[in-house]
Amino acid sequence: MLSTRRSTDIATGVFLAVLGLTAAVASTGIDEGAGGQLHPRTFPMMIGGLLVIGGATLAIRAAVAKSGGDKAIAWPDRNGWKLLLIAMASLVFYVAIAQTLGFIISSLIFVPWFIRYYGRYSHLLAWSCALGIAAFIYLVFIRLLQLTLPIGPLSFLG
Amino acid sequence: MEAWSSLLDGFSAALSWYNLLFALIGCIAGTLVGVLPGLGPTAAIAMLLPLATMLDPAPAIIMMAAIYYGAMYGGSTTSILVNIPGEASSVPTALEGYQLTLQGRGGPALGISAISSFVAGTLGVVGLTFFAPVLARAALAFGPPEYFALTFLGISLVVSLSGRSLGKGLLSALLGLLTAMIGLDPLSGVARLTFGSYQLMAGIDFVPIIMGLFAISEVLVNAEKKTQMLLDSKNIEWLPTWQDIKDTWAATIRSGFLGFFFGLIPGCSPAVTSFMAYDMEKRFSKHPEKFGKGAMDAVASVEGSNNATASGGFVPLLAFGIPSGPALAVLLGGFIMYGLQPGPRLMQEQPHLLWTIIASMYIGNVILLILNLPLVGLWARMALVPFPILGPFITVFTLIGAFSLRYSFFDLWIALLFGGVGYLMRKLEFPVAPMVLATVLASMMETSFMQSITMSRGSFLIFFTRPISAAFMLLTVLSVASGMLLIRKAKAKNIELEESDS
Repeated sequence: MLSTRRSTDIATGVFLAVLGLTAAVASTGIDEGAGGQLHPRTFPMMIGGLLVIGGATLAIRAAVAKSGGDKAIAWPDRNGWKLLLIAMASLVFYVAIAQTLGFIISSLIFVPWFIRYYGRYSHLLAWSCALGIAAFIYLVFIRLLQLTLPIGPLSFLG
Repeated sequence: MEAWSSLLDGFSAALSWYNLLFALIGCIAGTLVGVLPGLGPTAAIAMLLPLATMLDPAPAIIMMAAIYYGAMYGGSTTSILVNIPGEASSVPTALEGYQLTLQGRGGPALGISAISSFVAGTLGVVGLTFFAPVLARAALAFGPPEYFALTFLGISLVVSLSGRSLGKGLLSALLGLLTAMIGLDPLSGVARLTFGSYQLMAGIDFVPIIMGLFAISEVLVNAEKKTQMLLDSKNIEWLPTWQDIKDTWAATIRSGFLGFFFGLIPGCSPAVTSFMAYDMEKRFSKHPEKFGKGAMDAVASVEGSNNATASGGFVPLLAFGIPSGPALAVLLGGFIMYGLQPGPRLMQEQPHLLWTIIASMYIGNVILLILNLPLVGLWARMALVPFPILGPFITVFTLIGAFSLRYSFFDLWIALLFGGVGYLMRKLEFPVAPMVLATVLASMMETSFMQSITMSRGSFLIFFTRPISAAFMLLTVLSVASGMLLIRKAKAKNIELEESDS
């Protein structure tokens, strides 16, 4: 299922058509505002409508196309899915903890873990890179460029 | 003749060690913010404004101007080496430059980028020097109908950016347009598609979208494969060859003219002209089949155009005090800080200052070439860093860059979301570039359309009765028709047109 281009085009087309329909329906609830020649809902509704047409066209064309010569989608294998989902989860985790712990500490957690998990490098290399990134964040982003980045418990460094 | 003598006078001031020093500082700062994804020249100029108060007007404005055009040089570095556009204007560079890096030609791509930026940027400054007053008047003829027609022309580039998958390219563009609709209506301020969320009311900026579609998805793709090295081949070239320069000089000159003339139009940012230059080069290139697989002339064209646009943008600013974009608006603030109002009066009352700034731009381009060219080999070595080490660097710098836009974690979640979207788009063969283009153009397109319809009291004929607007609409039709012909020709000849994104 969803392993060939034909099947994914059908699914994607349906998804986009539903998305377009959702946008068009949601647009009906847009207020008029100060008034003008065109209602603020004009563009969103138009784009939603075009997405419905485009998505439906993609799905129908894929459905009626001959299945011979269909191309397989290069989905990852079981191990690939695991690596992908872990990578995504680690990025989500990084952003989630950065809100509380700040970018410096969260980078010190994320970076060595990523290097060790995906590269199997030594602790020394992983932690050296992590400390380098942390130092760069502090010296370049915070001190030199004066960005107000969250740094959590390290607020004394600001 | 008057311009020559004024320019020479300007050089004599710009070449003082004090002004040179601040030109150098601006060039370095600009290159740095250009390299770091998400950080743009606008923020850098704004951050250095307080420092500028301690300086005289000339060195301060020289420095801030150098940051602006310096950022155009820096934006290509991460685009080419790790597929992360430093600026929106570097997105087309990423499409081609990264493919060149994977072929072991990242160094030559960086070198050509620097050379093209220098040549086209200098061409732009020449245009600024000698043609500013005349061209500025023409630029002022642009009203909402002309802007809409221009953005409509821009959207037509989707045909060229879609490669073989035109239908999917159009869908990608529609998704980009829909994303740009989220937030407050630009004219009436009414909330649209926000579903009651305060964060969505601020809209979705295109920078986190670009970060997600390119950088985060790149990390996900390589994580899935547990990539160890980005480059398989040890046959890596570090510098461009004379053949590379010979192959790209025409593209560089063309991009200089295109970038400069479109840069004259207030609101026409380097992001817009870079896509136009990419499309133009695909039509003129002797090898259009290489586009999407690593076309050096595309890199030259895009990078040349964005520098020329930066120079062109100074024309309305200096001639009339009209900033072309956010960065130049902050620069205008710098002028006002000194009690100077750019425009005809400043040209009459302070010609020496203006010509010093213009002369410093020639010098700034030379400084940037000297700064960037020798570092090409060093930067290109970045591609030799194993992915498990490079990946976290890309992630951290990208997410911090996305955060620095509005200091909002919401933008980080958007970047991650579009990272997932970008990953799926790659797998399902949806081109990414049309979505980026549409997101960049959407706001100007809708605003100018609404304003035009208000001007014409509901008549759509306004786009066809005004000469410049009508010309752009005609160009759009020709562009789409020729693009479709190109695709048909390519299919008929069985030339493989890969999608323009990686």
